[in-house]
Amino acid sequence: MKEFVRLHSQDEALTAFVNTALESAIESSLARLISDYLKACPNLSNRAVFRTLQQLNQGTLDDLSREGFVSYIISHTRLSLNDVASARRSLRTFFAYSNKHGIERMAARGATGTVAPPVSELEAVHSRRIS
Amino acid sequence: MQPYVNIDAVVDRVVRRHRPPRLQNGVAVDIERMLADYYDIDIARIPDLRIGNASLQGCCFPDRLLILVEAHDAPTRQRFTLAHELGHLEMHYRNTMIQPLFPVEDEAAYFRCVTHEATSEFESQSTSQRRRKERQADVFAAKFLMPLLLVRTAWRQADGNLERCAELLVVSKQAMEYRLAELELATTAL
Repeated sequence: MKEFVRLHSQDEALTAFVNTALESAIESSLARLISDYLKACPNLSNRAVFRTLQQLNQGTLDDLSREGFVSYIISHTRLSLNDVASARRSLRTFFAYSNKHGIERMAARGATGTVAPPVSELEAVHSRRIS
Repeated sequence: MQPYVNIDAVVDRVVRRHRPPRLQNGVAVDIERMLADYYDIDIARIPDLRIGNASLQGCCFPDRLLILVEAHDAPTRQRFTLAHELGHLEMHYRNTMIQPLFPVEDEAAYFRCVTHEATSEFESQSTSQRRRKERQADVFAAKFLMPLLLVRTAWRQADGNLERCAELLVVSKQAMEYRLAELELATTAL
């Protein structure tokens, strides 16, 4: 837990309470990313997984690759390792789109021609994902 | 000139490396879990998947570890599409840091061609190469989802019933039929 304030040394419980309240009032980087993701992809069938992660209000996207943080999530929620891993991959994709990282290469199946799609178009396509 | 690709060897290498997980029926390859667990691929299902004016069954962004799949396709078709993209990853995108995905061209995206292009006498070399890679990926998908030993097992369990065999391997009846004919199993007593 971060220490935002330090009260009188005899008021440790109150200090912890205030710090917890302040910490929960600040949205973590991961929670903010999830919030944006859920807005951008409104048709997701596994929203509950992301909501749970969001409510935890901890960490960053990179933290989802750290064993310790994943263990923390699993121990504090009902999410499975697969849930967390799947969420990490989805958020990684969204993060790349939302930061307008260019599409380098692509291969497609079942199309009728060759096109170089702009990132904005792919972002729009991605926003319709359902899982 | 395009290098020769031994697709059987590629499939064998992938199977040996990852020992593909199975679906709950204990027979069919769990391609989705394999892509997620071993390749860290994000699989996004998109209804009415279109890019530009083209309807797609699926497309792959190797640099992003992302595969888009048409959500309205039957599960068997989605599985085949995923295996097809795995074929691209294994045969055409490996060592992406040191080699280009395709011969260097201006275009940034590569789509499968329609039939009339295949018969066109004006077909460009790049189109031909592209289609060849698509064909290779299709062959990879068939061999990966329906390897000989697995097909033998399923064919035996299905008592030689084509539909039942396709159900066991979670592939389309048509794909199963092609594969059985290729392996000359349908007419062979096991």
